[in-house]
Amino acid sequence: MAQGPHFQYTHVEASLVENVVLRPTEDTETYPSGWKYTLHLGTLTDLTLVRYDNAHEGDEGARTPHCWKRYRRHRIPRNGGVARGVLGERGRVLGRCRWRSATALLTAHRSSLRLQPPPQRKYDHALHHRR
Amino acid sequence: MTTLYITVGDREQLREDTLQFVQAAESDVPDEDGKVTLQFGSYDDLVDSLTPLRLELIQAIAKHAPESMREAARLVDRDVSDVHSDLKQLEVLGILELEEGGPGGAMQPIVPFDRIEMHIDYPLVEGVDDNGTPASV
Repeated sequence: MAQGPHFQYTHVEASLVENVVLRPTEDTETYPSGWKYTLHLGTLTDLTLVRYDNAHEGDEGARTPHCWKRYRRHRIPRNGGVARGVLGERGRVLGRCRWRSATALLTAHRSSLRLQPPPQRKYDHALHHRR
Repeated sequence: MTTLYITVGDREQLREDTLQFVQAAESDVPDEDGKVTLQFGSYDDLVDSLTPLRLELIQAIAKHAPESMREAARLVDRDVSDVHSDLKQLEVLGILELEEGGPGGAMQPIVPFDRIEMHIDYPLVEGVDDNGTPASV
C-alpha cells in the first residue's frame, strides 16, 4: 500500500525524550482519519512514560482519551500540552493509550521529571468505569 | 538522500512545523518528502548527548556498516561496554537503530541517514533575531 511522506521529530529536554511520528495513509479502514501516528514520551535512560498510537482508531470504545485525564491528574502541563497541540489540534487525539504502570512511574520519577505531587484525593475508579 | 536535521530550540517550532506538514499533505500538494528532526531544548542538552566520541561512532557506523556492536567498538578503538552504552543512548535519540540479524544473534547498529545537518542558533545578545534586528523593532 502506498504511503505518503512521513514527518518525525524527537525533542530532548531536561532528560525527557518526546518522539512523534506522523504519516498519511490510504488505509482508511484501520485509520479513518487518514493519518497514522505514534507518540512516545520517555527518559534518556529509555524509560517509557507514555506511549500511544492510533492503530485502533476505528474501534468502538477506543475513543476515550484516558491519557489526557491522567496527564492532568499528574500535572505534566508541558508535555501533555505538546501532545494535545500536535495531535489534538487536528481533532485526532482519540487514539489508543497504553500505559506501563503509569502511576507508579510518575510517582517514582516525580522529582527527576520536575512534576508536581499528585492530588491527595482518592481516585474514584468506579466513577471512571461508569463514564 | 535521507537527512537528519538537528537543531536547538523551542518545542513550539516543532509543533508549527508538524502542523505545516499536515496542512501541506492534506492540501494534496505536499511540498516535501517528509522530514526527520532531532531538537534539543538547549545547547547544554545537545553537547551532553552528542559528544565528539558519539559523533565519531555515528560516522564510523554509517561509513563501514558494522554487523555488531563489538565490531563498531573495534572501528573506533573503544571499549565495548562504553560503545554499547553510547549506542543505546543514540537509539533513544533516534539517530540509529539496533536491529537483530547480526552474526550469532548480535544486534546490528544501523544509521538510517546519509547525512546530518545541524542548525544551531546561538544568540549572543538576548532579544535579537537572526537578522540582527532587535525584537522590539
